Amino acid sequence: MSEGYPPLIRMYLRACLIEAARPVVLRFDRAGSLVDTNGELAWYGLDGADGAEATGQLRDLFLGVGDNDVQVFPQVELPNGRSVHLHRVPDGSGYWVILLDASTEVARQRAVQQLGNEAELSGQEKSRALRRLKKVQGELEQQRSALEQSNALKTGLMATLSHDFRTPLTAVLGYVHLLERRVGAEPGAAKALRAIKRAAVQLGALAENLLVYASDGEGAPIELRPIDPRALAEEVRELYEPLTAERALGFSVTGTLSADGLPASDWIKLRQIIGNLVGNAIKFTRSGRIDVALDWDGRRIAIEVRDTGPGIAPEQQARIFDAFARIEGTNAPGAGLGLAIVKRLAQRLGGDVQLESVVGEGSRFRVEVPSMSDRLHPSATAADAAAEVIAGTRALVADDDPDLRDLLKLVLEEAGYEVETASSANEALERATARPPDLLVIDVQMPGLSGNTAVYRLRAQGYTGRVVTLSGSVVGDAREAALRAGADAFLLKPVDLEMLLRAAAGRRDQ
Amino acid sequence: MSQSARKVCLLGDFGVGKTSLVARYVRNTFSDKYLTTVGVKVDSRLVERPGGAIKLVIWDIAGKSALDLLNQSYLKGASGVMLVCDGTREPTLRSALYLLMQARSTLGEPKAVLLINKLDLVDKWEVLPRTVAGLRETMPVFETSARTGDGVEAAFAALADLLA
Repeated sequence: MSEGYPPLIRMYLRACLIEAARPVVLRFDRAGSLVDTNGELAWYGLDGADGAEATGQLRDLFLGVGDNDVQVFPQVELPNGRSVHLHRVPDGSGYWVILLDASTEVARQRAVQQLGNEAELSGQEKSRALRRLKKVQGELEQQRSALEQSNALKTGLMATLSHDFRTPLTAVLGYVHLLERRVGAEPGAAKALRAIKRAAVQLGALAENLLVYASDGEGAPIELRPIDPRALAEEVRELYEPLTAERALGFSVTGTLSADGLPASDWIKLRQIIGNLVGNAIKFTRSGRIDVALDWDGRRIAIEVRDTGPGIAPEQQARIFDAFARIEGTNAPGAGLGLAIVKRLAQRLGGDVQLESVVGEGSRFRVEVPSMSDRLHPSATAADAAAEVIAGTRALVADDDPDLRDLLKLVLEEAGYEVETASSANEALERATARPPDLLVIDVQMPGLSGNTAVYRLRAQGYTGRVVTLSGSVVGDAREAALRAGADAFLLKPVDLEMLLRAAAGRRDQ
Repeated sequence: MSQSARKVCLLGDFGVGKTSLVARYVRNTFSDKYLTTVGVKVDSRLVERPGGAIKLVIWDIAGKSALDLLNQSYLKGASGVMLVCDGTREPTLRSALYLLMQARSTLGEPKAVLLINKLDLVDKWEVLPRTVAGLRETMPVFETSARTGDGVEAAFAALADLLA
C-alpha cells in the first residue's frame, strides 16, 4: 500500500482490504516444513485435524517451481471449496505463501461462465439435432425418390403392357369384324366368330380390370362417344347369352332411349362395368335368371343387373366393393377385383353404384352415370353424319404391327380410300413429305421416331391433311400429347373401326 | 515435498468431463449436474506401482478450447498432461489436440495421454473409430466414461507409468 496515503485512509483501506481478502500467510522453510502462520486459517480449512493435509496440498501446488521463483496462481479452489489467489514469495531461507480470498469473484465468474457454457452446449445439441433431422429428411427424400422411381417404373410397365395387349386385340377384333361382314351369313362361321369375339372381349375386359387396378383406379383416359343403349344392350346380349345358356340361366337385356337423343359416355368403360356385373352374376347364380336393363332417361344412364343368386348378407354389403373382397362361404374363382372396379369406373364417369340384396333371393346392382354430352369431342359428334369418301382420297397408314397395319389398310380401302402403308414413323414422314396424303393414320409407339414426332414435323412443314393418331398407352396425357403434336383425332386401342372411319372423315378440330 | 509427486494437468474444452473424471478417479463419485470450473481445482491420488508409489497432483484446469495467459500459468511445473475430449462432440477433439500444441510450447515435451470421454454415450459419438486408430499411433488413447468409470483407472495409470 502506498506510503503516500494519509495515515487514517491507509488504516481504513487496510481494514477494508483485509476484510475483503482475508489474507492468510504461511511460511515454509527450505525443506518445505511449515514454520509460521498468520491470519484466519479456519476460513480456508487449514486448521484442525485436516489442516496438516490441506497444508501439504498447498505445498504440492508448487511442484516444479524453482526455489527462488515468485509464483502466482489465481483462482485456485481449495479442498474446503473456497477459492483463493495464491502467491509464493521466496526469501532466500524458504518461502511465504499468501492466500487471498477469491470466492466472491469466482462465484460471480462461475455464474456467468455456467450460463455461457450451458448456452453453447445447448446450441451444439440443437445443431446436432438439426443435422440429424436433415439427415433423416435426406433419407426420407431418398426413399420418396425411390418410391417415385418405382412408381414411374410401374407406370412405364403398365404402359408397355397396355400397348402390348391392346395392339393384338385390335387386330383380332378388327378381323373378326371384317369376317362377320363377309361370312356372317354362314351359321357355323358366325357362331365361331362370336366365340372368338367373346373370348377376345373377355380377355380385354380382364386386362382392363388389371390395368384399372394397377393404375390406382385411373385406367385408360375417358373416351367419350355417343351411347346408344339399344346397341350396347345388343352387344351385351351377344357376349353373355351363350354363357348364361350354358348354365341354363334365363337372360334378358333391354335398352331404352329417351326422346332427348343419345347420351355421351365412355363405351368401353360402360361395357366393362356391365361385363363385371354380369360376369359376377353368372359366377354366383346357380339357377334362375339374370336381367340387364340399360336406360337413358334424358338425364342419367342407368345400368341395372338383377340376379337370383344367393344374395349378399347386410354385414358384407359394406365391403363388397373393396378390392379383393370375397363373399364368405363362396369358392367362386377370381381375384375379387370386379366390383371394386365397377365402383371406381362408375365414379370416374361421374356416378356411383348401389346394391340391394336379400340373402336367398338375389341381388340388384344399379349404376347411374350422367351423360357427358357437353364434353363430347366434336369429331365424335361429326361421326353421326355418314362419312362418304370421295374417290381418289389418299390415306397413309403407319404402324409397326403388320397385322394391324394390314387391317387398317383393309378397312380404309373398304371405305373408299386409296391406302399406302409405312412400318415406321420415319418411313411415314418420308412418304408424307414426298406425297402428302389426305389422311394420315399413325401409331404413337413405334421403334425409332415416335408417331407424335412425325406428326409434329409434318405439321411444321405445313402438312394440312387430316391426322388420326392411335395409341395403346393409357398413361397420363397421351391424348393431349398427340393433339399438341398436331393430330386431329386421338383413338385408343383397341380401336373401334367404325370410330376410326368417323374420325378419319371428320373435320379438323380447332 | 515428495520426490515421487508429479503434477499433471487436465486440458480440454468445457463440458468434456474433466472434473467428473477427477471425481471418479480420486473419490469414485459422479454427478450428472454440470458445474463449470473456474480457475483451477487441485486434487491428488497416490498410485501404487511395482517400482514404488507415485503421487499424482492433478490440476483440473477450467475448460477452454485454447489456453489464455492465465491458464498457461497453471501449467508451470507440470510433468504430464491429460487431454480430454467428448466423443459426442468431434470439435472437442480438435480443441484437445490444439491444447496439446499450446502445452508443448510452455512445457516442452510433456508426457501426454488422450481420453475420449462419454463412452456411455457411444451411440452418439461423432469421433470416428478410424480417427482414434490414427491417434493411437502418436499417443496413448483411452475411451473413458466418468459416469461408469470405464477406462478411467487405466488412463491415469498409463500416465503415471509414463511419469514414473
